[in-house]
Amino acid sequence: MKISVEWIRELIPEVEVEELLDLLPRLGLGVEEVIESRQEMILTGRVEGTRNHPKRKDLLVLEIFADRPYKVVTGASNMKVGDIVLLGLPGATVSGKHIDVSEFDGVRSEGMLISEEEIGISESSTGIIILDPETPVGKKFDDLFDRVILDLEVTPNRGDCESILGIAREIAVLRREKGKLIDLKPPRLKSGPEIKVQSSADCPRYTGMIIEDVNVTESPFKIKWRLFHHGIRPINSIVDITNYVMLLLGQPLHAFDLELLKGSIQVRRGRTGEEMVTLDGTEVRLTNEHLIIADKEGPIAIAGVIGGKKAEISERTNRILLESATFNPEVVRKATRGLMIDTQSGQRFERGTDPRMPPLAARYAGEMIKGRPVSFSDIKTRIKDRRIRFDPGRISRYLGVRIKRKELTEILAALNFQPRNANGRVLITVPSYRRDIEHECDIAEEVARVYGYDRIPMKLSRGEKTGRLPLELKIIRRLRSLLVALGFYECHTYSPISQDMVDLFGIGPCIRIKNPLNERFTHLRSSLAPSLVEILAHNYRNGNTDVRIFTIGKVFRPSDPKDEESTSLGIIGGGRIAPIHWDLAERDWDIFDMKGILETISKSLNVTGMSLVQEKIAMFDSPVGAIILSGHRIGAMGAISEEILTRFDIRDRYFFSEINLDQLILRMAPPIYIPYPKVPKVRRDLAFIVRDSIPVQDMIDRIKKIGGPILSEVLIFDRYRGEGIPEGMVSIGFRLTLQPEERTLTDAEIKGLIDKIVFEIEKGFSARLRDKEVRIGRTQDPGREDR
Amino acid sequence: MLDELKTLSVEIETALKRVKGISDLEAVRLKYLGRRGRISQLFKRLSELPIAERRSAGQILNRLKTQLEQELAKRMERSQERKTDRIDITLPGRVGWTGHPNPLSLVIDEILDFFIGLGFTVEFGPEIETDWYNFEALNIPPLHPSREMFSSFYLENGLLLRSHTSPVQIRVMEEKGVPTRFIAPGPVYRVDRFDATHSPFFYQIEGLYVDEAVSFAELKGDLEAFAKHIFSERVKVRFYPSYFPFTEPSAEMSISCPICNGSGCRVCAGTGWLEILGCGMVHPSVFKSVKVDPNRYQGYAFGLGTERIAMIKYYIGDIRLFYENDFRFLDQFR
Repeated sequence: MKISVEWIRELIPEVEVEELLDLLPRLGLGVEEVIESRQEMILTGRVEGTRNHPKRKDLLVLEIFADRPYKVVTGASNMKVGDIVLLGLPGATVSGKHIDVSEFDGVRSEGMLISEEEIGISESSTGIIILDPETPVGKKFDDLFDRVILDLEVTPNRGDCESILGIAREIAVLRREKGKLIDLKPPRLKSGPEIKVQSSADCPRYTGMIIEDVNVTESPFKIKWRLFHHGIRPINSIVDITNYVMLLLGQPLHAFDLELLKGSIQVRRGRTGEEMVTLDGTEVRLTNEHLIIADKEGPIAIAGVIGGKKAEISERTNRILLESATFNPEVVRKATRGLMIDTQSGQRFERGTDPRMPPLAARYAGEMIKGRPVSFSDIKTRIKDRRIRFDPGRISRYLGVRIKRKELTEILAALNFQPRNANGRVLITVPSYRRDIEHECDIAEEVARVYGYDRIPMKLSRGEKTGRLPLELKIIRRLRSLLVALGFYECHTYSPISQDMVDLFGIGPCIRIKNPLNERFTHLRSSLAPSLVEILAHNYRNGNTDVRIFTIGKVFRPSDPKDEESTSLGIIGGGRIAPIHWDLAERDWDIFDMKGILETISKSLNVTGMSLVQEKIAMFDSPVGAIILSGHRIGAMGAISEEILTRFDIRDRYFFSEINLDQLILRMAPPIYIPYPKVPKVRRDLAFIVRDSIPVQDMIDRIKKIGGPILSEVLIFDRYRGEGIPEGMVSIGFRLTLQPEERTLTDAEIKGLIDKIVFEIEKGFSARLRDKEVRIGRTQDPGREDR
Repeated sequence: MLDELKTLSVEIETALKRVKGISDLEAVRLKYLGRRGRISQLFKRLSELPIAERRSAGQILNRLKTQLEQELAKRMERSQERKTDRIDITLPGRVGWTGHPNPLSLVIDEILDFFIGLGFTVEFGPEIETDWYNFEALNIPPLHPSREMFSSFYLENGLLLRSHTSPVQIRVMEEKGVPTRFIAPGPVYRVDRFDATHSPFFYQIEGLYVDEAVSFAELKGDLEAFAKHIFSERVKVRFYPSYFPFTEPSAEMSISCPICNGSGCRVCAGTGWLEILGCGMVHPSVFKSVKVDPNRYQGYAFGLGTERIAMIKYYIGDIRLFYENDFRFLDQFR
């Protein structure tokens, strides 16, 4: 909300901008912007004489007296001798235009007379500005008209601050000043017009004042300038006054042309089928949801929001009905939201207005309007003042500061809460403009605000319990450190994605957002793949083809009755496996690098039993597999499909994998120490020639089964095809580690077990033992870890 | 013979382990590979064996010989290098790729660690929420003007994406009761256009501390300690009144600009201060929503945007950088 410092000063004399900038934020009124409308070197002047330009018919030469006599040439003709005008002196800059001494066909002009267009408050104007005849001459523009505008952030609970009066009241509270800021009185007129209010819940108060013999003209410049700087376009003298009073008192007013109204005024709900053209020319369809003002024939205004074209004030208007009312904030809000009409009046009613204000504002406006107020009606329900009883000790405990009783009373009095003692407690009466004060805690805030937030001490709290990092976060942190150590970049990603991505990755159905911001964010992702591929593409475009990225975030699945969300880890890898080095051969990522990352994760988190099963998945080209953990599918891994990569202009291969972390965490085992065996372990290497269609995992599983608990590890140390190996076959080298628990194995025992494994594998997989060898340093090897 | 070979292989291994210098290496070589060495002796004995055994024994013996020769040669070279500086150690070492965390995570970790140190636990809530948890239980009835402060994305089934982490307050008090003391980090969603300081998706951290005597003074004290922990001991804090439907009194906390030390710069728009979070005392209506007696319990709550904290801490000028994940950006964090 915009307020002019000069206007505030009319209520609180001598308050300075600096002081306001300090006080307002302490009150909770943030200053978003200070707008200075500096109009230097513009003076007021009186037209002393006017004559025609000797050579040009379209120009006049004026004698103006400001601080001294000036001679000015002008193209305007709307002034006469005695008028007060605005003279821009040489050196002034008006709306970016520089004014200088200039010559018009032999006549020197010592400045320029200012029009509304030039000073920026109107888009076009025919003549220069003529000021009120009472305006003193030779005064600087900046000393007469609003100059400093503050743009305030008024929180939605403080409807009472949506006015100059409200802001001034707040400042007075903080200065702990008493006394009236504006003298306001109700009208004293005979009763009339006839008004019918259908529901006092919708409209707790409706006042109407009839003013006759009004003269609709242009408003004085001072009012136009003021309205313009408070965000309101000047219209005519009547409408401008209603807006002016709204800005000053926070009470929206509306003026109807009485001649155009038929029958008595009704305040009622709209009826289906009723239509109205608003003042700005929009046609609206009304329903029972809308509260309207109507005459015998139909709607003339949407209550509290906007007036209708029908009874619009015009130059012909002679008698007006001035409305000053209180409407239900929720009803007004429904209308502004439903009809998408945003007006200053609507904004104020939505936040709640002071029910005591309507007659006062009506009289104030009535006195400003040139005309004859003749009658006044006030339809209202009784205004109940809210009384709150509270314990001052509780306020102190709540705030953590002891406020002396005397100061507390002083603060409450400054707030106009009329504090009274009641058996050790305090009883206050909430002023009608403070609709937000309901509970003891609201009083605590008021007291704290006026006492000063900065005077409340800072005290470190002491809880009774210890803090703790939950398992889920611990694991996420470990995962992050691990992947970063493995050379990955951690990414943060948005969870909404586009329909296009859902289709391209084949990850539907996804949850749809009903009111998306734009077409890029319409669905909630069910996979992290689209988010990560976009990051891959972004960096690829910038010439980074060695990409290792991961993200941890939520994925979503539609489900009834509640949609499912789970935390996932997504990884993309591709490009070279290591930075270039003088002694290493370059190699690009393949699927086993990705699988290796998953194996490292599972090992480091102490998750056992993770395996891969081949499966067709839309977003992957072969090789691809589902990640299985203890029989549950917890993710997938594979080469990102060429179709997807092509769409992103990526011409290299990249691999993606995704794991459901919730599932993974469920299956993590905390470490438990088992005394390590003191007897040496035995290593044996076995190479089998087997058909290349046999999955190695099956052979490992079989070997482990035969080996039993004594076989502590099976590694693949070699996979060979080529010379000496028949077509369609492959040689697989297994390194077995036997770890007895209690005593060293005898040669016979070792031989027995190995023979059994060889026999079973040869038989079970139609395999043939290729080699069994003795190696230096690979026999009995007490206590040395050489993995 | 085969048994003998096995013993020999063990013996060689033991001998190699005892080697200390070049002279030892030479001794090993002489002992096994020399003209009268053990291996040479065994080769001579091969002819004494039966044909079947001779062949496999020969193979094993050959392999033993080559392996030992290679091993000795390797060790010899290494010993030479140790003595003669033949390695240019200015050559770069073998390193893997360097990874980088997102700065947002660094800041979240630091914030969580601070509050955990103070005695807070960590709680989570769903990102898909109901109107009740996101609004009504937090004293934001339908048609309340303050709904505009938290404008939400709605899903087709009437649920919504939470527009703040405050629903976690309700969920935790409902499930675990009071007293309670926790922080709740997580993404939130608001209908807000992208610009340098706004994003429709960002991370919030909620804090709630409820007990019988938690005061506004403690809210101030804890948050001041937090600001000093995250930024620097020199940072000053300032509390101004504000408004949130679920707290009363409410406040905005600003810190003195850590970049210019409060003297005014581009980051703080010349004011010397930066607003970093909203906070306040829990509104009694919130307690009523979760059936906690507001006459017995009181508490404070706060909510902060982690991106904003990270932007100030690391001088990051655009919120979108966190989600763009450009390597040139991430490379600078570790």
